Amino acid sequence: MLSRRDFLRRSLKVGAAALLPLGMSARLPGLPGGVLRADPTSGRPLMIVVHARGGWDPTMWIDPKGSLATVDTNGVITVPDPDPVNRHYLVSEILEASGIFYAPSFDVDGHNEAFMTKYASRMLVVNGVNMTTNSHSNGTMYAARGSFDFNPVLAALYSGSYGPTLALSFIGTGFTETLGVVPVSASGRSDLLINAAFPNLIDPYASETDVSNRFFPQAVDDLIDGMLDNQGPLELAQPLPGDPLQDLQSIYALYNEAQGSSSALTLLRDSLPSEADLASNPFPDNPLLRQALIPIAGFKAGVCHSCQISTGGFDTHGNHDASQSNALRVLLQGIDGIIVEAERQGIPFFIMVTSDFGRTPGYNSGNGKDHHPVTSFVFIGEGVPGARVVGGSTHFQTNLHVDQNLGLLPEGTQDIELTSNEIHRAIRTFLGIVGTPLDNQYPLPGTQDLPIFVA
Amino acid sequence: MNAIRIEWLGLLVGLSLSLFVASCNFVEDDSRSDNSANLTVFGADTSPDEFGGLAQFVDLNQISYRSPLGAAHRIALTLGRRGLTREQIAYYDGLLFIGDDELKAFADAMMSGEGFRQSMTYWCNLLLEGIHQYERGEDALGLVSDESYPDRKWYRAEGIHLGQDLHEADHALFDRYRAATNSAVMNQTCNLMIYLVENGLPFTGVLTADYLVGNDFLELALGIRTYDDSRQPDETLKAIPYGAYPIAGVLTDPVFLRLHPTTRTNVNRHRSWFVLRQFMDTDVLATNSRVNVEASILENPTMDAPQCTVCHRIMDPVAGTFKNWDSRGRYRPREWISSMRLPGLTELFVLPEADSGAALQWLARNMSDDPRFATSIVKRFFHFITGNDVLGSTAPDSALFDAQQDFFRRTALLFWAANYDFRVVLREIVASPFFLGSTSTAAVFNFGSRRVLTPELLSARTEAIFGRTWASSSGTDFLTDRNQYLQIMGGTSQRLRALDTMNSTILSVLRRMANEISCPIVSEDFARPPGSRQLFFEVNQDTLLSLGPVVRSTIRFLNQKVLGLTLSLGEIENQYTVLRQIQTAGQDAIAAGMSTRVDGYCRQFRDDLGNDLPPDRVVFEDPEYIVRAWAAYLKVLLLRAEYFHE
Repeated sequence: MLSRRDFLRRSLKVGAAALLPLGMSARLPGLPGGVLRADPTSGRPLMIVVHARGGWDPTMWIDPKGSLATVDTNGVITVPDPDPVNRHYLVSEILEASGIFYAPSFDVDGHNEAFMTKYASRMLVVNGVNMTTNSHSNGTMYAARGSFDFNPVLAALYSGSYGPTLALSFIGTGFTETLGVVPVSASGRSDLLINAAFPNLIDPYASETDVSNRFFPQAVDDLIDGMLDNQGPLELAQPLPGDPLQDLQSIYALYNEAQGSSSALTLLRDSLPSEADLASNPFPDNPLLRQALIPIAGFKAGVCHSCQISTGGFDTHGNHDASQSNALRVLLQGIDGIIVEAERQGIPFFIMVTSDFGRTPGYNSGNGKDHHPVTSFVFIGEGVPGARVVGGSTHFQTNLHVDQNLGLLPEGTQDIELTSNEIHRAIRTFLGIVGTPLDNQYPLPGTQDLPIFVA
Repeated sequence: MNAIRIEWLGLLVGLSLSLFVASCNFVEDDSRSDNSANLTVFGADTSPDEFGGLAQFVDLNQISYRSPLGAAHRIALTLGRRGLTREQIAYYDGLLFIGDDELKAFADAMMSGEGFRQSMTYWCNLLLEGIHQYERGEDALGLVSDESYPDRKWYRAEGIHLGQDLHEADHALFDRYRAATNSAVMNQTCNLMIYLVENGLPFTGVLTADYLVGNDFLELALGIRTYDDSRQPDETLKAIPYGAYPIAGVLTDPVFLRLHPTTRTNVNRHRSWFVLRQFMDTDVLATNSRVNVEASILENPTMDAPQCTVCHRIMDPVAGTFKNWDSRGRYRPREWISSMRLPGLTELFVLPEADSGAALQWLARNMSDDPRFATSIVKRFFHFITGNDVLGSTAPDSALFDAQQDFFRRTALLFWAANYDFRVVLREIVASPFFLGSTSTAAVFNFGSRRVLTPELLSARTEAIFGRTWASSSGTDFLTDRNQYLQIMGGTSQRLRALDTMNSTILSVLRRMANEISCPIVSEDFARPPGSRQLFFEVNQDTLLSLGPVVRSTIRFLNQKVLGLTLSLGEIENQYTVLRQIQTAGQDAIAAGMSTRVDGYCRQFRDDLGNDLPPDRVVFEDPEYIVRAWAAYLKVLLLRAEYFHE
């Protein structure tokens, strides 16, 4: 008779290659051997990709461009800026924390100031990134995978490299192209996930040895599992050569792989935070934090390596300032909440914050801002050099080129243009993905290896 | 071939070329270097029968098909959302081979009834990309305007239900009326599709219908019907003439317009992109729409910057035809923006001034005359039904790409030749090797489907076969309710791309489902009178499992019913042995103190009408562990890959 613990042990012991579906094993030659659990002590962090949906405005936060108006000592405008990039703050009102310049908050709640005061010393900012597109879908794809080519998104590549068979290896929403290197899981209600993690128990938190808490006695479940383990074709009365229903090898393999690792989900029960645990979080109800709770707990439990989450409201073609500010507040407070929770759980993390693109350097007739390809990326986490800004843009948000050492060049000087491609190359190097089979299989275009993550 | 067809084909060739040239060739299948083949295919002396067919691209001997029973099983579930009856199972199990004509006739027979309507509605939601997100409460009713839907919340009116001093029954009626009205408004386009198919009307009506389709609830919402206390509103679908605005099928559906909104600077481009992609087989974002910074800050980049005009010259004319509809989906006739391209189907095919007030009707007429409409519909439904992607011209498997293109062109032509009878599309898809076939040789391309059922389809399959879903006592469907397992399973009801590959989270949910529903399915069937049973014809709840012949026969039938497979005698014997072992293990547990009774959620005391069951049909005591042994066996079937894949 196999207990849950035996099941778990067995699933952890089986080599990854044996569990891989057929199609996947073909794609993963030389997969780092036998990794079935994320190991929080290995130092390899949980990757959290946060996408600001709709195209954020970096000038409202991390690439500040204030109004050029002049004001008198009473704050009254004496010479207006005829074409302001932003209306709600002057160039002279740009703030600084740990050497990083940022925009003051539009709202009086001061979410920018609060976040920067707390985290600027740990932040790496890449400004003046040319996404080379104004299309939401293409910008989202380019941000997530650093290439317009047929590549998996970064979070999938990361999970696929280090733990493709984990129960919740990659939890993703939005654009989650994996190309099959790792299954993608959706997030959802944690109580339902726990119900699913203990499918044989009526109450997942009650005793599993109490027969009245089981749908079927353990001995019956063992017989059922015996019929389902290592599923293969059933023997048919009149087998047709190549009958599709006899030809489900890849599906059986997927099933068997999932069967082998599903019991690892049970570890989540002990690592998911209770509401009391979250009481000390500054933003316990923030929707971004809520998306990250299962990935964080999953990493703690050893069943998750990466997630891709998002928050919207940034496509501010109308009423830009107030709407963009509201979206930024959710974003910044969500990241704050995530960091607090990850640190409460004691796990290493790597947060990457992206958006589709930026917004135009000025307002349209509806007080909105339209699409503009120049944007920023932000990183916080394990080993990320803090208080660091790479790249930049002009007042009207033309991206500036850099040299090989990331020195910022004057406007009009051509050398290296920072794009999502250069950033993703640097991330792959920083996280040790370079040289893995998946890195070789899905290379990024270009040849520039820039020391973006080198302090 | 008759003269009309020749004329149409000639038009088709000419129009195809002009549109494809004008649109910078964004249609993926024609970006391949086989345009000459295209001309041949659509040439004036070509008929559907003269297509080379799949044999051009693959050795047909390497494609194998499902057994007649397996084929009928899948077609019935996919089109009609029905499980096969005992008689159908016996018939198809007795066939060694099923001909194309019989297969298609069976498919036709599945295209009616409530299950077929549900299938159509499911595909409609996929086509419109998420219209069902407004299914709750009054969500859809909140999107439509007072001027067009003056009585959209008619059920709140005084004299009907005021929400005060209501009896419980009135609350239930109120909820039902509210849900039915919300559904009627939300599903206008889906109901239009159903109406067209059921009445044999051209499917181009999806774009061109100048009437609404709905039931009495829609008429009540529109304010053109008065509630009659003496009779229940009729839910029969009908065409509803309505003059408040010029109607053009889906294009003027206010819920569709709210689902795909616009802004002051987006100026209907999203709507244009969506309509072109779904109905004209033209995805302007399928290319890398790359721009540079300088282009982005030009005064009018969409007109002047080459990197922008490549897409906008296709997208903007169609955007202009939405000019009379505002961001809230209301009809507000106005002039178009002078700094943009003229409204039209293309830059060269512009909207006549005389049609300005009914621009979308003009667009609909011209889209429906465009050969891309047929191809687009075929491709979309091919993807929805088979689960296979429509390959792009850069797909690594060139032979499969060619085979798909051949199938699309042939089916599109048949669709047109049948005056856009949509049943032709469904019939051709489900009878094709893309749906029923497989190639077991890895070197050959991948025919057949390979996907885990989405939660919506899994729920539908469960209901079709067992007559019940995995639901709470109050009726909340655990698989399709967005607050339940839908999100974890990665369903499609929200704007998520459905997860269609297995992972351990999905499997865990399936195991939970199998545990929770296997016993009720078994006990409900035992509680039915013998003539109404769906699963157990030869055994009762007290039939000893030691009675080998009837138990083996039941095992055989359950596999046919649930999985569409007829097991060999050896396989049945193996499973019978395990079933007996399960019973023994259960009896041991009873001896060790486990209850002799089935659990509360599995007991049956009353029939569907609430009447007490006769004693021999009450399911309560199970001292020999028979009911629960069958439940355990059913749990195995529910967790077979063949059950939750297709």
